[in-house]
Amino acid sequence: MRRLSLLFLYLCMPQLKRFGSKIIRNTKKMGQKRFLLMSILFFSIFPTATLIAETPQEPVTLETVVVTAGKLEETFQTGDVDREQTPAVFSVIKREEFEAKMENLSEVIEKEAGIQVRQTGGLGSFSTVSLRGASSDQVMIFMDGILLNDGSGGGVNLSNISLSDVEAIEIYRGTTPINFGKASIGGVVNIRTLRSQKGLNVSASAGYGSFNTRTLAGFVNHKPDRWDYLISAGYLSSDNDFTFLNDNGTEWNKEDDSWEKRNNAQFDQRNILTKVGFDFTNDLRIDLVNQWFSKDQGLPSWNNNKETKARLDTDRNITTLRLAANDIGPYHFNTSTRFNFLCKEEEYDDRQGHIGLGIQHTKYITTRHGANFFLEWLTETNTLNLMLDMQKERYDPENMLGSSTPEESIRNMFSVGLQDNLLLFEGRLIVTPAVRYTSIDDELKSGMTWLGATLEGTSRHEDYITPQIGMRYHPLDWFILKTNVAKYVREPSFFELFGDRGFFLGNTDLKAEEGVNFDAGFEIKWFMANDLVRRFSCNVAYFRSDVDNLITRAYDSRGIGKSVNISEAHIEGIEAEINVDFLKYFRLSGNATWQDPKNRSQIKAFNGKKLSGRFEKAYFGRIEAQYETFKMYIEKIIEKGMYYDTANLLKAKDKEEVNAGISWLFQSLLFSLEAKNLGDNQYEDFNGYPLPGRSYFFSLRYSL
Amino acid sequence: MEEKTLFRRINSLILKGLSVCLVFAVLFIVVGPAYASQTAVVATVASDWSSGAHSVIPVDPVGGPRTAANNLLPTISDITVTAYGRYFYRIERYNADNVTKFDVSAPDTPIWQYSTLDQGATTNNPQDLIFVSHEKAYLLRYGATTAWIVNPSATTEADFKIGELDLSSYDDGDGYPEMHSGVIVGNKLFITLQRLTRATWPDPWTTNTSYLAVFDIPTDTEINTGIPNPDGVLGILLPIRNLGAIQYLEANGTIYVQGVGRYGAEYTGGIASVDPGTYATAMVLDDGDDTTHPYGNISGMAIAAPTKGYFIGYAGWGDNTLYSFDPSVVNSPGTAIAGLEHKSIAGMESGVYLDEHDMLWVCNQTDARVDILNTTNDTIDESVSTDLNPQRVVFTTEGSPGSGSGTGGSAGGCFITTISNSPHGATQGAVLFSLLFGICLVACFTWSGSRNKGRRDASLQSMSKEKMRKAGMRTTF
Repeated sequence: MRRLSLLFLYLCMPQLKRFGSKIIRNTKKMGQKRFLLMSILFFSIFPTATLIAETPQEPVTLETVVVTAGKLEETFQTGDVDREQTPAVFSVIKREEFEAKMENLSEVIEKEAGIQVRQTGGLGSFSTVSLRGASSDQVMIFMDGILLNDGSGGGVNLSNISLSDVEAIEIYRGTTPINFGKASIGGVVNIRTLRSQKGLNVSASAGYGSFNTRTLAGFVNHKPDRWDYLISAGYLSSDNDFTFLNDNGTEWNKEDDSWEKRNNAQFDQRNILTKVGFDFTNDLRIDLVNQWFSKDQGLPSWNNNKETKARLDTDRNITTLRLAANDIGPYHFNTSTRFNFLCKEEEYDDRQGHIGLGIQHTKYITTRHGANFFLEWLTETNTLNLMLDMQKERYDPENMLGSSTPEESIRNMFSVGLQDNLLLFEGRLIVTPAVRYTSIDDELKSGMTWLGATLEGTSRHEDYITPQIGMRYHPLDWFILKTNVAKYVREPSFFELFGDRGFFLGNTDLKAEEGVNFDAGFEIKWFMANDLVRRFSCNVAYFRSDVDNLITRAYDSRGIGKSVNISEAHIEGIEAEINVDFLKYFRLSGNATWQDPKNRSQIKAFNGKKLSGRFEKAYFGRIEAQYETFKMYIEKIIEKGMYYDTANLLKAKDKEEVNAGISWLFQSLLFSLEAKNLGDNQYEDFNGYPLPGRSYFFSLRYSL
Repeated sequence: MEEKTLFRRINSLILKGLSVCLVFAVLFIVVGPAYASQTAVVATVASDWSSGAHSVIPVDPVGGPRTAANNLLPTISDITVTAYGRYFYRIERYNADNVTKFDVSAPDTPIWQYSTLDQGATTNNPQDLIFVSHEKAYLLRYGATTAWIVNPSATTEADFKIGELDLSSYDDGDGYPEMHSGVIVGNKLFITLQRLTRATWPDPWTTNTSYLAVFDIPTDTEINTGIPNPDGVLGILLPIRNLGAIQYLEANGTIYVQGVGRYGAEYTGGIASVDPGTYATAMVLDDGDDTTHPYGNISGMAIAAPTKGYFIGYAGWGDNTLYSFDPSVVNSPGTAIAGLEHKSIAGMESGVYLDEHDMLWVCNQTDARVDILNTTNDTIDESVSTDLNPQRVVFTTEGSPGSGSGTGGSAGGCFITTISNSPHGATQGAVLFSLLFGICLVACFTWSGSRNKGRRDASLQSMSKEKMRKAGMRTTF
């Protein structure tokens, strides 16, 4: 009978693999191999148990197996970062950690070590990210390898990235693998969207919560044979009419304070991801992808004026054609070739003049054509990577009200990168030198300032060479040492080079910010076969960044601004992370970041002060308990020591936020209830922009 | 006989008393009362406009060292200051709309803070506060058609606004007349109106004819100046555009107004004079034209005397120069002041940056300091760091900067304080005090003289008795 069960197991192997997602334990770090092992064990045990039951023997108690909803397998494509070999310090946040939750990208990544997110309001409001004290301009955000930062500057608004079609979020701090066409001082956040999986996968979710927040999302992925398709759609909206204390602009006069609902902060956004792919062979595949995102957002005024109707509407579409060809030629090259077109349109409407300086109705259009080629050559002793990337970007503002004052800006960028992973001592030591060469050509066409002065057309050309080297040493199975040194630049944006209609002058003499990053740290991963502590992992890293030619805004006697290179930054700190699975049902996660982001400025009032907008200390702690299909958690986020201003005169209130949640998995349905900011504390990441207080959300997810 | 003697004595007493009073009065006028020294209050701003604050700097001693208290009560960056008596007022402007009152003896402790926003508005952008008295002032608001009449001694926000001046007739088509600065001459209030058309952003803002609106202070009604103008308004049409500073020089009874035109694009500014009685205007300094503009745009002004004035030439971003000139000569050439060339120079919008020692306080934003200029020889007397960039300087005329808490409130409780609050209060107080002191002194002398006289008479009597005794005369009286 045992032989029969094993034979049965062998015959069922393909089916097991296909339907394995139905029989899986809902754990965080379950990999494909472990899943398969569990399935094998299950099917091995089951016939054996049956057999045993047929014969009068001692009763056997089976281990509890929890049946949960499906989990997407993690896939690897040519061009992805090989996380087993990279020396970069990174984090990966997988879909199951945020799926069907009422969270945006900012709220998900802010719980990672070394990461700071600042928002101007509730869900959907403008938000930026800082890695290891770097500014948002210095952090590159990619979506499936396509850069979302644009030449106009200001960083990427994280609220314009929907989580409904995201498979994983990769965060590379300090050092950027050569796989990414552009690197910068702060690091990289790469949003990986859903990828086609074998078989049929369906998921749908809905949620509702405070401030009339509503969400609907779903995807279907089918890969019956060589071709496959994936369609994902999402909708998220909120009135954001949270209650806050309005001081009427008079901080020292409490008599005119009033509790009010936030006005004109509502938003709604929609996104659709469509992917079609075809496997010509096992080594040749083509993908056509289209990502569409649209958001309409109200902009509240500083004094919460009920009459304010200002709006910012954003539409973005990215179309990508990708060809992956592996095992080419005698050297077995793996290649990925990608062509993409990005179009982003932002329409700012303030025809009442409630937000900006006077009445405005302006459209900002960014279009970008890009091409990327990635080659990988694997040998026994090394992995050589070659990257070529080209982009042509046009930024075109359009005045919807009066006569057109075109100030079109164009940026052509070409990058080539080379990286080698040298595998030494049987792969225990990996040394990864790399270098990037980037060439940028910027052009501004002529226009006119707001005072009627003529803006002459101008152009500039810059070349940058940015080397980096990293080392990863794995002396023991549970212990990894990493260290990296890298030089990066952040080129000036169109806004900094060419100004904005005269209230802000351009400065074509600006030099790029240049930073040298260093980090060193270790990772420990222990798995123990006892109920007291089942898993223990710990990461600690020291980091340091020295940035020259820091681009700072300065204003002259009449209030006209200009970007100048008059500062330097010196940032160093420690980030630490710990995860412990203990007492069979509990998980403790936590991280801490201490950083000292110092400003070294030619301006006496700024020199030696902390860079504005960066915390000094941040802590995150979460305890999770899971019993069969129930899970509950409570977490706390603390941020301290931030100043709103560069002279460190305006200290921000320390932030403390407690969140909690409970979920129940019933067959293919997952019910979740979350409470955020249980302390109902009022904070402002940006001075004068209150964040919501206590809120509650309920969501339901169905997966097939 | 006795009546004659008494009358002579009284006369003599009065004459002596008046002489003493006169001496002391002169002394006090020359030396000045110790309690009325000035303190400079400086609005400051971070160079990246991420924050602002204020500083207080004693005006004395001339030649320095003057010690500044910087970064007081940090706040947003779009701020300005104004002062009256021992109090100064910090105005937070665009998208902040409030005024905060301080006593200079407690410069970081607000006495009150009131909103200056109309119901339903997002911002009215308050610019300046022009004082009539401690109980009445005019609040000029750039983003509104009305100026508020306010009571700076109000103890509640509800009592702060007590009236309005309507300036809607000066609207240039974008809904606002862009009122900016003002000055009081006698019973008249003169308000500068920029009248920039800023209806369509980001199309260039356009300049228009600029005016001074004139109001009668006792009745708060606009005066019809009768000056012909193309816009049919009651005010004074000026030959310059985009007005900035306004100043009244008592020495020659003349109002001076500065205009900037459009920076780098239009040279329709300069400095003009206005007769506050006849409302006649004249050009004092023309900034040139599109081809020739030797100083750039004229972005600031301070008139020290009928023949001595200063202006700022704005040649470009961060490239401003302070010039001296003679306002009594039309288009008198400007002389660059050494040490204040090619700097970023702010302020000078009130036109009254002269302290009681005729030192000109200049906001040097390139070096984040106030340069105090001796106007007699145009040399820098002292430079005082303000940590952040100085934006505007005003002077309190009483009290001294300290760390104690301010008393605030109405100024009507104390006789001396009330007197001191008027522009000439210090002098009047000195004279009265001298008079009283003189009378007291004379009384003392007279009383002691009488006692001495008594002793003298007694001794004379003794002597007379002795003489008489020697003379054989009777010694009893």
